[in-house]
Amino acid sequence: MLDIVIEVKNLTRFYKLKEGNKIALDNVSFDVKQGEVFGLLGPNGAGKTTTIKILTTLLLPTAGEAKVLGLDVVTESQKIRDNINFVYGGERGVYGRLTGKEYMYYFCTLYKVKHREQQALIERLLDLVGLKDAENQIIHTYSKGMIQRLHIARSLINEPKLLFLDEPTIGLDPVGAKLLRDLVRELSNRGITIILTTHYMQEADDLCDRIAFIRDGKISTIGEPIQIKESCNHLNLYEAFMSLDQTNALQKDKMFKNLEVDELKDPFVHLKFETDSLAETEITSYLEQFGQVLKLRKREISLEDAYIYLMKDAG
Amino acid sequence: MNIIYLLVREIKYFTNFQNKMYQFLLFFQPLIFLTIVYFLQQLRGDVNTDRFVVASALISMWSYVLYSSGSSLVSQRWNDTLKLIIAAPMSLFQVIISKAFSNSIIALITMVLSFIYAKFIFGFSIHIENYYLFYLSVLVLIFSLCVVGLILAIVFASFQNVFDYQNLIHTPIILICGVFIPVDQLPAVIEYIAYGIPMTWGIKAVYEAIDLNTMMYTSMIVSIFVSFIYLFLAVFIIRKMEMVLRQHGKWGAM
Repeated sequence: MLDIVIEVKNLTRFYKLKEGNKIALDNVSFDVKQGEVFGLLGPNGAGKTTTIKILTTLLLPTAGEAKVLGLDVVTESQKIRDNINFVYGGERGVYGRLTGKEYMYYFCTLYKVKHREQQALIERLLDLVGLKDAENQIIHTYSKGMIQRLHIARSLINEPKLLFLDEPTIGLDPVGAKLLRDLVRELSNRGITIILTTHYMQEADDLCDRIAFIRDGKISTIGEPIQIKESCNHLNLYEAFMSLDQTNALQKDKMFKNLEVDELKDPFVHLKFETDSLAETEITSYLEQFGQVLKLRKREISLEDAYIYLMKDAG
Repeated sequence: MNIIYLLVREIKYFTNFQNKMYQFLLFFQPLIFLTIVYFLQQLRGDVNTDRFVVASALISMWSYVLYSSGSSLVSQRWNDTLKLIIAAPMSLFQVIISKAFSNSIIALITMVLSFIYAKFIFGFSIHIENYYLFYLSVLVLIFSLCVVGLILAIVFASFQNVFDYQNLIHTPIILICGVFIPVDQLPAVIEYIAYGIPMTWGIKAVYEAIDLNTMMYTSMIVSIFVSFIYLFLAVFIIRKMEMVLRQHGKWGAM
């Protein structure tokens, strides 16, 4: 049995606005086990960042209880801060005029790392995140991906047991995002528990051991990605490649739910849709009225499909 | 020991000599004031140049501290680095005071330059009776500038249009704190306000140290005492500020 490192019970948070209280978190409960990569997924304003702010002790809850490493987020914030760290997505949070190495030295001092240990630690961390060659470059010249990796290096200065990553790959190009995902995997392999928020479902599916879907401040679903996907197995999702004669007619047709038409080289299209009960032969014969069906197959449920379905349900 | 390393890193990493405004305040402003003093002396002949050399240095020191320390916390907000600093084990108070202290030390450059300009460009003869006491009074002044910078950093942290407010208090503080006119010649109400500012006592101590006035020790002690009151006030406000931030999650609450 793995140890519980985060325990959240009935966590609630209001924000006072001129027009009244806004509920950011509404009786949220979950726990995170040691060594897990735990994903918090939800639309903008769902409560992901509020949850992370409370767990990183930067924000107080209005009600409920949250314990990180067995310590209360309200009364034992300093002890928690010594053992955790966080990375927020985006290019901010750096001093552009400093070099990567100077930035790390500054934060080593803020984290009270012994002076004689700083150089070796910085070299090791910059090497880990692949910034060793750019350590003397000023941060203004860094790409978004390099800044994110620098943030990861900064977040490892205090050797955290828990790392909070709030949309770390936002705005990164595919190569930069992959490098960062590899880094997250590497950190997880080293035994660091990671709390990840992201809008990218494929990323969450790849990285997370367990996932919670959050919407309007409430957790709607929680489980392993495979369990979440299996819970949507009743959905009949299909994809088809067609040579279309009547594109507009198909798009206006109401037979299929959530129809998506990706236009390939004219007249070919790629379709994605959902049906309630039609068999494959019935679907094929129905589609034939719009053109020639080249290929039709039942689609495997992706985390994105499950997310869209479950979040629609939660709404 | 960490605070010393932090101070060294503040000076090394965050002193921005590329900033045109700071270049002007530190290197050129004393030159302009000393030029005015030079022509005043040429016209009147009986100008107390020692006092005016120090005054020109004090104006530039105050200007630098006001704009650099005053913006030190708000710039962390703009950079989005403030939450990283708040979450670090080093306290926010230690971080801000190291910034304020580093800026006060850098402001000392303008004092040294004022004397160099005065002596070698304008040919003023400087009469300081006891250099050790003068240095001591300057140290007291630096401490008072540091705590004033600390308070300014906290006060201005919540303002978006921080430079407008800085401009608003720039000249009044120079007038109130006795840079040109001795504080006891000001109206009673302003005099009381002036004596509540540690810089007033620091400036008084510097002027008194030039003339070896026996009141300088009292001024130094009072300056240190008032500075410590500000320092304790700053500790209290910063703790309160951190708590308010945790409660409300945004600076608007400040």
